[in-house]
Amino acid sequence: MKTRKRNWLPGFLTILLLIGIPLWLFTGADEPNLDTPWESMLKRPAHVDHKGLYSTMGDLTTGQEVTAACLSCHEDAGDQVLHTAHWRWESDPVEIEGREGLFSTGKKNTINNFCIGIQGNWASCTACHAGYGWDDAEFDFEDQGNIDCLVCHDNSGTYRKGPAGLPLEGVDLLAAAKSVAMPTRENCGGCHFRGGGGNAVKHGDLDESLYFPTVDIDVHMGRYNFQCVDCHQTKDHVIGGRSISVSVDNKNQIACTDCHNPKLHSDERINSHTDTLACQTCHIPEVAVKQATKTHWDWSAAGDDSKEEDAHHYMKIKGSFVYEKNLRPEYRWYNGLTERYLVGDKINNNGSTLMNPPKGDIRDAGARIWPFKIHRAKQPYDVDNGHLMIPVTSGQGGYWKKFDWDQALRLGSEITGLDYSGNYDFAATEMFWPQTHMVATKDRALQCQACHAENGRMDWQALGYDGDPIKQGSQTRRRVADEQTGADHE
Amino acid sequence: MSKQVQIMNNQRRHLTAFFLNGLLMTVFSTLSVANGLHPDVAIMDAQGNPVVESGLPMSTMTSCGGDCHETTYIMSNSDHADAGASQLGHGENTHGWQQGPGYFGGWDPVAYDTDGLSASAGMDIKAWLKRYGPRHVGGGPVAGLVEMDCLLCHTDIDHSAREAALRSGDFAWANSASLASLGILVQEQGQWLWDRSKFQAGGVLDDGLLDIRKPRDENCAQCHGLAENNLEEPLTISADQYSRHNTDRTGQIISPQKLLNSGLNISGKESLNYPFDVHTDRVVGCVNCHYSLNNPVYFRQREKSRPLHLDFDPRRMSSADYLVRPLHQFAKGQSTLGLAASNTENSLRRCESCHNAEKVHEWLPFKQQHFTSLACESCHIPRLFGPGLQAVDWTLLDSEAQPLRHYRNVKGDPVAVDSLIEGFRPLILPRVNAAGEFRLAPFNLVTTWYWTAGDPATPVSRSQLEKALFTGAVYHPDLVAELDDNNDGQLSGEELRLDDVTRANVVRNRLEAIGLTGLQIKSDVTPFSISHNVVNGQRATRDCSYCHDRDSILAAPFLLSDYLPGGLLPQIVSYTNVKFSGEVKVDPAGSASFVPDSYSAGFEIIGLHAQRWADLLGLLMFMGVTLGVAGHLTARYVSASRRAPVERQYERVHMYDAYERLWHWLQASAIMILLFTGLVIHKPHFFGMFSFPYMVSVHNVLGFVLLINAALALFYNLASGEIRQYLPEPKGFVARSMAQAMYYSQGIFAGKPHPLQKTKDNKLNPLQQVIYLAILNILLPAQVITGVLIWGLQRWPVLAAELGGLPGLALVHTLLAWVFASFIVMHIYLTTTGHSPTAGIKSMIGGWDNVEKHTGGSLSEEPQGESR
Repeated sequence: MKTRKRNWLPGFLTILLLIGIPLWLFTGADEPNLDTPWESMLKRPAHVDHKGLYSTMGDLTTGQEVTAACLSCHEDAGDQVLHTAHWRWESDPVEIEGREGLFSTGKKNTINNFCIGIQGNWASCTACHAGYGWDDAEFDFEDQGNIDCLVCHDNSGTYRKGPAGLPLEGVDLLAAAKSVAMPTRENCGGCHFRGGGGNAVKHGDLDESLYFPTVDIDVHMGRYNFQCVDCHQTKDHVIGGRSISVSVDNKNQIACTDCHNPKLHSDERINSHTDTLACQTCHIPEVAVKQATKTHWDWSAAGDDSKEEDAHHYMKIKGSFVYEKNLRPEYRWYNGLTERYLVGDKINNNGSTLMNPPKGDIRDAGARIWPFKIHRAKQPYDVDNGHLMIPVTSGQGGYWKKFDWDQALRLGSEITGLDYSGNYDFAATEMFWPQTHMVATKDRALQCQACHAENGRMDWQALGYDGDPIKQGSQTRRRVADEQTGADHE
Repeated sequence: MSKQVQIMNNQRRHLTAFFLNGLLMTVFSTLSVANGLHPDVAIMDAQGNPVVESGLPMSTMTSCGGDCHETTYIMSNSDHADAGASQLGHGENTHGWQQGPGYFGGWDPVAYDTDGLSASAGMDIKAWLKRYGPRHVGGGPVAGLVEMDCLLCHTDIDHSAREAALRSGDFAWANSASLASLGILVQEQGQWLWDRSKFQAGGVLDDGLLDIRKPRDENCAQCHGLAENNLEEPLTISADQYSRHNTDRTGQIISPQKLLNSGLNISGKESLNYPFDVHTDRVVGCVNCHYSLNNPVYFRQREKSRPLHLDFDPRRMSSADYLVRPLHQFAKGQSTLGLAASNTENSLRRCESCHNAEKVHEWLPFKQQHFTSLACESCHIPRLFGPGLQAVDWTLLDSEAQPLRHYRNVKGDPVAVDSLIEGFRPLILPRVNAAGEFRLAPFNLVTTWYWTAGDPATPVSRSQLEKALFTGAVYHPDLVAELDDNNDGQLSGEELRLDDVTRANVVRNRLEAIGLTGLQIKSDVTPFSISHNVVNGQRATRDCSYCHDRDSILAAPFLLSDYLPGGLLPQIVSYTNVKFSGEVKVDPAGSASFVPDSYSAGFEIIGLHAQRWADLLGLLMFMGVTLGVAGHLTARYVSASRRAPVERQYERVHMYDAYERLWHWLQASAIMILLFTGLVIHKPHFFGMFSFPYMVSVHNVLGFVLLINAALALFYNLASGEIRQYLPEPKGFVARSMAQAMYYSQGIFAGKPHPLQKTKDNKLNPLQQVIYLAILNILLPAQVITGVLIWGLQRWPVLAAELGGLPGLALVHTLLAWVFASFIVMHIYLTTTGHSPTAGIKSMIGGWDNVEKHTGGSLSEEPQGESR
């Protein structure tokens, strides 16, 4: 009886298949969804409330005591942090193409065209160091006790650092310690939104508008409330991402394509652009959308008492500036690597000295056209030696107090060991900031006419094209693409 | 020979200029040099002397002519210069009072160009120039007064001074006046003086002062519509909206801007994340499609004049030849009002010339059928967002002496940035294409109302209207007395509508008072075809119900006017290239609409043009069968409850083989799904939750499942000999049929046994045999054939057309579907008439049946196995 009851089943299944299979074959499934970014997102860890964990750990009156408390449970964390760029402010030794030997570069020893260099100016610069007490060349980078856990993990919003990275007086360290959690935009932004010494100065695509971003400022943060670490995924305290202002290698870099399919556009024409353009090029049509960013800095104008002081135009200690809002980026080929002006290098006597020019050109299959903010400056150099100088500015006897360039440069040379002839002048420099944050909503992405109209924003000749490739095509790029696919076949 | 030398000299000059410019471009690489090719030119007067020496006005014919361009050729072969003048007297006129079909001497009721119509006296060219000169390039009929102005289209300088000069009658200096915007020319005490400091030796303009280049969209836009390629500034409607005809009359806006980024107050714009015009977005400019007809880059022989074997004729002008004699007739499409340039009609590349629609419409059911019925624009221009006129009422003027303009999609002033704009769906009408075939294509209809007077009737001129309606700057007191409904001493808003005969007579009396006779209100409904504002496939109409539904756009009323001046029904102006299939209807509120009827134009639309009688008939049959079955069931139930159950002996028989059962259930499932999906396709508005195209696909696939299953079953039945079961045995057929019929009508109620024994080899009673013979030989094949033909309409159009085309096929298919549905009700019911209500179904599932043991009775004595 049992078997009779079920004997309809094979027939039923056969009918189902006979109808289902043709339907499945011929009605056509929906087009596959090419964009599944959420699958690549890391789940944020569950929050562990630390409120009740400090009762046996003393008063926590200094930063170091907080750190000791943290490390008493998080035993590996101290060692992990000791190897990070956020602590060391320099990279592991890497090779640089065209140079002999290995180089560790980072904020610790390089030169930029904003405040120039930290050597001799440690205390003020290291207010943003994830540690305590770095105020001279002798700082011990192996001492876990000086790690600053709170600067990244404080969630009370009350933690503040001062000279040499020490907590400011009056900060309730116990309250901060009780609040610790996954780093938020406030933690990262405290330093990174204020790079260059103030809000929006340095990056162009990072500023305090990202604390409470609207969707118009950044689609990830504004629409989906992304935190920095959602993209800058972190393992063992090594935070993902690279900035070419300090790094020369391209390891542990983050890309849009980590989550997004580069060929996700429904339009074939647009998809064909992704072999040539970075996503950012179209999807970041302008930066500094809320706060103006610094584009020019002329140190040679500093020291003039007669000029009116204004943080956005002129300061006696720093010289004159230009700030721009809704900045339209400039476009360069970029393969993820950069040249690097290292301390002691000769400057370029024909035009500007480029601090970190992006590598790559139209013949480089790995390069894409990227949007850059280019910061142009005039900064001191040694005329006889032909190299840029690092002046002491905020440090003892520095320019910001004495307004004496000769003394500031001489003091600087004593610290850095860089030769100083006494004969100084100001050299034009350019520093490149690839624009990758402040991603616009897709309806604001660049349209064809933005580049391909007669007055488009691309300088085709400078990029290596014969002219607008929509009309002229690009033999070079096509050849590169062909070689690339050929290589893939082999 | 000398001509050739000249050309070579030109080439050398061009080359030099090219290299010089190349050098400049390298040096100033950040400067965008739009067109480095054109050399700096000497500005000459009509005698060929530099104007800077003679002090005379510029002559474009000599300045641009001379050694370079053959300006007389250009001028004499330009529809823009001719403006229809060459067709005066012999073009296709739509009204008795117009002299020609074109701009010059024609009739445009929207612009109301009555000044060009002084038919008996001939054209007053100076009056015409003053009024229309700013919209005319010069040359052609006015060549003696104003030369064709090359700068109007080939530079981006400001032409307002030209316009002012023309309006004031300063024709000689009109073209030169534009140069004032460059500071080359200054006007002092009414005298135009050339600024010598801006000229080099030989009267050549200073380097780079005048950028001469190919026309840009903005140049065309001056007259033809709103074009804005700037992505940074939100687009707004320009103040001269009325004179930008294509925008004003159809709502087309040429801009790459996304609607949501524009400055227009468009309803729901936040979801409109696509550009006004995809071609502009993709950097296709006006002249890329509307190219000069001898431009060697674009030129393509028309199909008519091209040998069949030749797609592309490589023998063509060189670029240098072209630069000397560029034909200034431009490729154009099929506009309803293109009457003045009839020799260039349809010279444009068609969508198919650039696009391969076949490859990207795989998803579209009935792809070919759609391609042969629809112009691409019908789906790819779903809505228009610029202000598009609905009606212009010239029967009464507003207080600023302007007609009452009513926009289809804007409430209030179309130019004001805060006026709310609704995107409007264009009207879809059959329009002839280049191959002479009618395709459904989008249009806007603009209704105009105006007075005519005299015999033969001519439109009352604007000046006559103003004279009759106004006393000084205010309305004539008679008008105010009669029309001022709210007694505020003003005429405004709806008071200005002459929407009945009484109100119309107030104006009629005033017009008679200024001496006009034979006054009549006339209306024109003018069709304007729409080809711009194309959207890409993602944004195009993909929703089948847009057309294939009761609310189809192809049957939706298209509003012509909210009111009827003088109570007059709008009159459609007929053009040979558009079919006005449909009728004008007035609704009780007094508004008039055009209700299209594509069926009468030969377009049968599934889901819209279902024949109601067929459905009614089918429904009646279905209901009849259902009611009959219900009645029979009730009678059985009642009779069964009144008598004692009959004990019968049964024999267990293996009735149905596995294959038979499989075949049956597959067929049953397929038919049920087909009936359901067919119903959804037939009446989509009842089944909004189902995807129409998916239902069509499922229906098609199941149709083939059914067909294959039927074919296999036929083979099985033939091969096994089982087919005999379906063939009625003639001997005793009538008696057996009667017996079976008597059983269903009487015996079954009395609890009598089945008259005929069902055996494995003789499953079907004679009634079943007849029915199945009909179903399997007539109904099923007919349904399958009509279905396959509907599906294959695009593959065998001729065959399908001979069998009645879609209208005939769909009708038969629908009717047969009703028969199938009715059969299924009957069939399922009859399965319950076995020895127990579920026995029939169970036997078809398991194969085993209990059949009555027939022990006696005359009928059952007949040898059942005889047919073997």
